[in-house]
Amino acid sequence: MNALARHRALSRIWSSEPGWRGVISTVNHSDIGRMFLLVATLFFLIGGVLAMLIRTQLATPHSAFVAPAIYDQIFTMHGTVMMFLFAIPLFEGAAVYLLPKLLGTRDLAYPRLSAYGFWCYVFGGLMLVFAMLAGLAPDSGWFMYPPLSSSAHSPGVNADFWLIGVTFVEVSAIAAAVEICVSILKFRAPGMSLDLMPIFAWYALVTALMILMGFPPLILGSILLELERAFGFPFFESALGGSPLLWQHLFWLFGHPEVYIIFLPAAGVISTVLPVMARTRLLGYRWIVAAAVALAFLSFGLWVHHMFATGIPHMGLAFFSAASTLVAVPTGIQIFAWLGTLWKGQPRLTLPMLYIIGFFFTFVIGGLTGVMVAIVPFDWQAHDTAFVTAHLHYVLFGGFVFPMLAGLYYWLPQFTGRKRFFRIGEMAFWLIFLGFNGAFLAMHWVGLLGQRRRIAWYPEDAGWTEINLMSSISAFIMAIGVAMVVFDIALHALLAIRGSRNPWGAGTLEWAMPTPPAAYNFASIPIVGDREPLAKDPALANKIARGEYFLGAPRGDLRETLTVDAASGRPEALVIFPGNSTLPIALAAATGAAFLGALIRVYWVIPLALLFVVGLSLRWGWSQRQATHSGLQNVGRATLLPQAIETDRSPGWWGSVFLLGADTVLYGSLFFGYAFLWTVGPNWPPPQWLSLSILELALGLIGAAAAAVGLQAAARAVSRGSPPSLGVLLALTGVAITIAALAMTLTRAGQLTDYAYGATIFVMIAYALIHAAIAAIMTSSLAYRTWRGGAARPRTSNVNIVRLWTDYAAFVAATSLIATQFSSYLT
Amino acid sequence: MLAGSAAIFALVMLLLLIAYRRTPASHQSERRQERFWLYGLGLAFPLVTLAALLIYGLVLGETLLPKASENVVTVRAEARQWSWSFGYADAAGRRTQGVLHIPAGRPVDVEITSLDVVHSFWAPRLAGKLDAIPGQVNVLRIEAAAPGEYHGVDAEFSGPGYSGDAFTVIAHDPAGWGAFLGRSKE
Amino acid sequence: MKEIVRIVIAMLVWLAVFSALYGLEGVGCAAGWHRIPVNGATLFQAAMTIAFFVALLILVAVLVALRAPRFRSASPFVAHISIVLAVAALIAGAWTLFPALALSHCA
Repeated sequence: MNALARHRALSRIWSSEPGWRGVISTVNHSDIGRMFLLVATLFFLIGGVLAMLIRTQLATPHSAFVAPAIYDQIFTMHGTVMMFLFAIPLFEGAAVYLLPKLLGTRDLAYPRLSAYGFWCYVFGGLMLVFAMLAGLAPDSGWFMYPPLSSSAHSPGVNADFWLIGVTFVEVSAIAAAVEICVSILKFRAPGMSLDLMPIFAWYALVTALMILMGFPPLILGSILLELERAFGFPFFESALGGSPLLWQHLFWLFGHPEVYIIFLPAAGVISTVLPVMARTRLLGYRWIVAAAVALAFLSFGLWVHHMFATGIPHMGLAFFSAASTLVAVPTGIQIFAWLGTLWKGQPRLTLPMLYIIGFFFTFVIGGLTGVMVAIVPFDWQAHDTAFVTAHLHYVLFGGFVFPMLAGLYYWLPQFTGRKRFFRIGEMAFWLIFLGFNGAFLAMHWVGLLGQRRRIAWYPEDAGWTEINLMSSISAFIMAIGVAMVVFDIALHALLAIRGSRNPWGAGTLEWAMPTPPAAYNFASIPIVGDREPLAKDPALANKIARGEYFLGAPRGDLRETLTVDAASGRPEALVIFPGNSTLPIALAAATGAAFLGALIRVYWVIPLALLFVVGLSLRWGWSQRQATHSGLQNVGRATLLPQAIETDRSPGWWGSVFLLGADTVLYGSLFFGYAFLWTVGPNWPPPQWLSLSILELALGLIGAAAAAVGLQAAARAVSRGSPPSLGVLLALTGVAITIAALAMTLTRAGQLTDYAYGATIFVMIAYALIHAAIAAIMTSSLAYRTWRGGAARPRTSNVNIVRLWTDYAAFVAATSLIATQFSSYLT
Repeated sequence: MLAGSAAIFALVMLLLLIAYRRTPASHQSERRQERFWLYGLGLAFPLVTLAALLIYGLVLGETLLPKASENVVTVRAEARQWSWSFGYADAAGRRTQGVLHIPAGRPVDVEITSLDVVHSFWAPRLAGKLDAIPGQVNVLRIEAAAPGEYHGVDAEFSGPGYSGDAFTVIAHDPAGWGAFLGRSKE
Repeated sequence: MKEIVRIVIAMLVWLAVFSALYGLEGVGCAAGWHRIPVNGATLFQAAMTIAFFVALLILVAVLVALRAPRFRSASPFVAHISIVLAVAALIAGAWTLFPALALSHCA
């Protein structure tokens, strides 16, 4: 088979369907990545227009441009759109598009999950856009502090749009994060050990892990606040044993890591682009990886620095002040590693490099003002003024938008296979750079003069008029620059000037393929022995196209790739991906219907929608593609590997581990809330405790133990090759008993929910009940497989996944029952 | 702090500029470069600077805390959408709307709370911010050096009336303070 | 997976002890430990001081473990990163938690 025939065969196997049907049924990572990037860019433009409205309002004193009620919606939506609908999805899009190409594989670990995440993002984003167009947008500020966002002070549906829309979008972030983790660890080119991974993959891995740890607290907070708004569960209502500060903790537990979740991918882009522009290799690769990991964790120890003015004791503040200064160290290591890389090489002044210089200028200022506000007494003055707004824009625009623009122009030739012709990008850079600094330097200044953030108007005699006008004019100059970038890209799409395959002389694998890339990425999966394989072997692209490496012989209509051992990169298994499918969009629509039911408070919709979710999920799980024969498969180069689903730990197992990790953080946050209200919340103890029921406790614990033991026995039976009937039966019985016990406790807790204590234990038990239900569904599907037998009989990989979920459900049932049943004794 | 920041910023920009103006020293080993850029500039330099800054900040923060003192005056500030109401420990039952009276030259503890949503008490020339949170009382130590009027605002977004939510602090000389308290007894 | 655990464990432990001390501070203040005298200091001071040293001991133990032949990674790259991060976690522990020894309580 020659290279062209191979290209045709692989294209037929991997391509999406033609026309609009292709859009809704594609599961290909290049398509999904492009769609993510496109939609995220649209939201960036929407957020930008909102920003211009804000600057118009503030350009003059006593502005009558819009009334405060509308203005509040505008700035709330500006923050919300930029944070949740632009920055995170743009990272997801970049990662989804680039990672398989950088890692030398053909798609991400779960192609259908990428599509599902994308559609959740689109539907959630549409909810918020609809709210905005209908004039019902959230208006409590993007961090939604209760009681301002509680039903007493925000009676409209506005806040619900935020809580439900943003949570829906976060589902997509969690899905993408799981996908990114597993893809980076398992779906790489053979030979690519951890130390040979492209640096962007390290950053993406760290970012994805941070999403899994950082988003659950906010998801929990949103659920609790929505429960308070909809059913009067008083989690944040101090008169009834709740605390408004609980929200602030949960929000910033997410909110501060969020800043680094946004910055780290951008740093990954810089670490990738800058060495190429300096015609050298990155200085201190190992140190940068260590710095990124350290930064990720330190950023989880900063959240209280957003709450320096809430009356927390000084010692508590001091911990966070110290951590906030320390976080500058790993950031500094990266900055100086990049500078050292420039010194090491021969830097060129290309357009991507221009944006990176823009990054250095703005981000260093943002970092330095960040150290200032980390100092408690300074923050007591600067907090909630325009100074902080300016600081965060220096960090986020400087630390994210500039690097992403650098990345855009760097990867544009890879994306389209074309080259730029007009020098519009350079002009745009200067407009954006000068406009940005004009707008936000001025805001530092006016903030120090005392202008608060989020004000809708200010008096003439404040002396802020000229500064604000200057800021507004600069902001519009910046907006023109952004518009020119969009224009530049549009021109690029219209004028097809063929470019060369690797115009920058880069060394990573995404340049070792024809551009624009084919749906299958690599005609054969290369063997990697260097961090920059293409620099080491310039003929690599041709060898890949000639099928000299793994999986160079297409089989039937199977979408094939390899998984590797996470540490060494030794090839481990053959993966057969699912083909195009409308299941993801259907499942996203069903999920969306459940969210919509909660939003419009038509609650009977929710169980109905969830029924569809469960049905579609089961179908999803059943419709796994597999090879025509079981056993070892020939993957080329005289290598035989098992199919991934016939190994003990299939990709589904790995994904479950990461998803359950995020789930554990959510559960931990719930415990944090319980302990927080207990110790710090005003108006505790509650008037009535949940009394101890030995029956419920004993049933729950026995059931949980039976479920765990049963599945252990089932796993043993399957590995011996016999049907796991007994074990599965025991597990099913155990899960059923657990559900009964939890349901009894839940009924009793349900009578206590007009107080924060009762509401909290209700949520804890409900959480356990939901997980027990998931375990029941999964165990039932295992039972069905056992009963059907033959080709459907459960494999070790099936049992192991069900075991993970059931063990977790058992753990949650046991801990939540213990924590709630004994609560009356803990006073 | 500003000068130090400016110096660090200038250093980074200078290093960036020089990178473009010099011929690369290829004889340097990777290890030596790592030592200079990462251990030196990346690690040692920020650690030393930040340690100094942090300790300065914490010491200053300690001095700003309300310490027990003989002549502390206690007042109470209650925020609501969108006005401030003040009460006085030395004059039970006396309340003022939108104007807080304090004695000049004496430490004053303001007990801050809120009746509805989260607000923040901020009289920029007297002290930093402290939030007014429903169900919770936060104590802010302020002190006016001289008699006069000081401007104060709500500094945590609290809804549509937020922009105009302001109050005034009037610091009295001893005689004026006595008169204010005395008048309240009538 | 073991390699990833080696890389993240030290900073994860830092995060755990950091949160634990912050939590202890909250609980101590809420329970009024700063008003209970213990040998010339308060129960709060005693608890925070002990917790500080226990936290550092745990971080030292992680560092020692990651260097020990039994747990050390076979890959020089992972071994280097995990040990660098263990040192970083120890520095971070001392840096972020020293206020437990020095600052005023519950004010």
